[in-house]
Amino acid sequence: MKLNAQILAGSVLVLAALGLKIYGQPKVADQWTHVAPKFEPLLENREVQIDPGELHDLMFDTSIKLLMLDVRDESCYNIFHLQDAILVTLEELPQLQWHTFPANTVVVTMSNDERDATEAWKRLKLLQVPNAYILEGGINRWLDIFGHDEHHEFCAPDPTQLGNEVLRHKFLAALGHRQLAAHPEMHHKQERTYTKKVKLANQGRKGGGCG
Amino acid sequence: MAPYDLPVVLGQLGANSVYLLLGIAFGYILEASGFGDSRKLAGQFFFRDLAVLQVMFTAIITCMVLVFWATALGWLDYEALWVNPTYLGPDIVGGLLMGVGFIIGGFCPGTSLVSVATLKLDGIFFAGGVLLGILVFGETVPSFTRFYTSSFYGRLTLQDWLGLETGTVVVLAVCMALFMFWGGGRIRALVVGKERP
Repeated sequence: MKLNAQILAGSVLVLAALGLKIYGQPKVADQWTHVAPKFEPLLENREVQIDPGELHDLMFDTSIKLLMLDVRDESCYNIFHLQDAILVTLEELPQLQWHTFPANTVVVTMSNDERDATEAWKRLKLLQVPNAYILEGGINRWLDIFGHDEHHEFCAPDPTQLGNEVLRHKFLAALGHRQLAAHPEMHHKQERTYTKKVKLANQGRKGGGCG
Repeated sequence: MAPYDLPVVLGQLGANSVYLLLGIAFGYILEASGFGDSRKLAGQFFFRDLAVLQVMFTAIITCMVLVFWATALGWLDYEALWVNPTYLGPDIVGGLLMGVGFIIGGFCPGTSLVSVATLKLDGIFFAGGVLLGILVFGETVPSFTRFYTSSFYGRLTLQDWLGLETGTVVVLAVCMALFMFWGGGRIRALVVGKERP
């Protein structure tokens, strides 16, 4: 009787494990469906899209650890990126060991516009990253505001191209962060007003162990 | 979706009540399994009594299957679960120390508390030793912080390490556990058979 119970229990576990393998784990889209009621309003109400002016101020804020994630393709990144911005793909986001970052880490995702940065932000919320934001308008808007050495009429916003993740601004050479627009001087702080949106949230995860 | 922030959902009193009930259930299960007896626990290392392997490993694989099924069905956010980060070198040394302590004392910290609850003297001394060890660790850890925080691999799971998908890892873990139960039983039969004249 005992052996039959053990065989039955073992069989149930094996079948459950095989069923799990077949059913699979939720994909990103499925995971987002479960948390969308909590986070979609933040996107719709524009509560997590921060003005370039606010990001600029965060660059000089020593009370926080700023982590800028550039989710564009490598060629755009090489042409121009913000100083200290890290090029990362959406698939690499889970590998960044988020729990090792200090509680005052503010993560800002950026792309040429907002579409890809928003997708990256969603992935970060699924990874329980608490202080994640999106650069409003992306790199295109950053360059609209802070300009660059080769700024000319072709860099003006084109209504037919807005939001399609194309780098509107033209550069003669791929200089990366080696230009003033990548890290504007601090005096720009007085030139721009915006609604401050970054608020540090607690990590929430607690430790555990067993004995 | 779980995990829930219990103090927010139930209030602090409600959350503490849940913790208390879980603790009572855990202690009850351990005592009912005989883990308040150091001889039963130490017998694991001599293949005379495999209750520790069977009970603990069964709990592990049952919980594993339930956690990942709950995640698959959207009831649980797996990314919100705490996984102890891996510090490989310190983990190996700590595991070795705990293993030596386990076989010498016949308890792990949790089961020693179970033994204390039933007023067993060896459990009381072991638990006292645990508390003293924790105190000594706390006072001396600044002197070996570099080693204590070395070889950091972060939130490392079997899926990450093996590069396999979750379902495959669960199947392998369940099969490995069942094989170990079968194999351990065979070894126990050999050992017990040899000990009997």
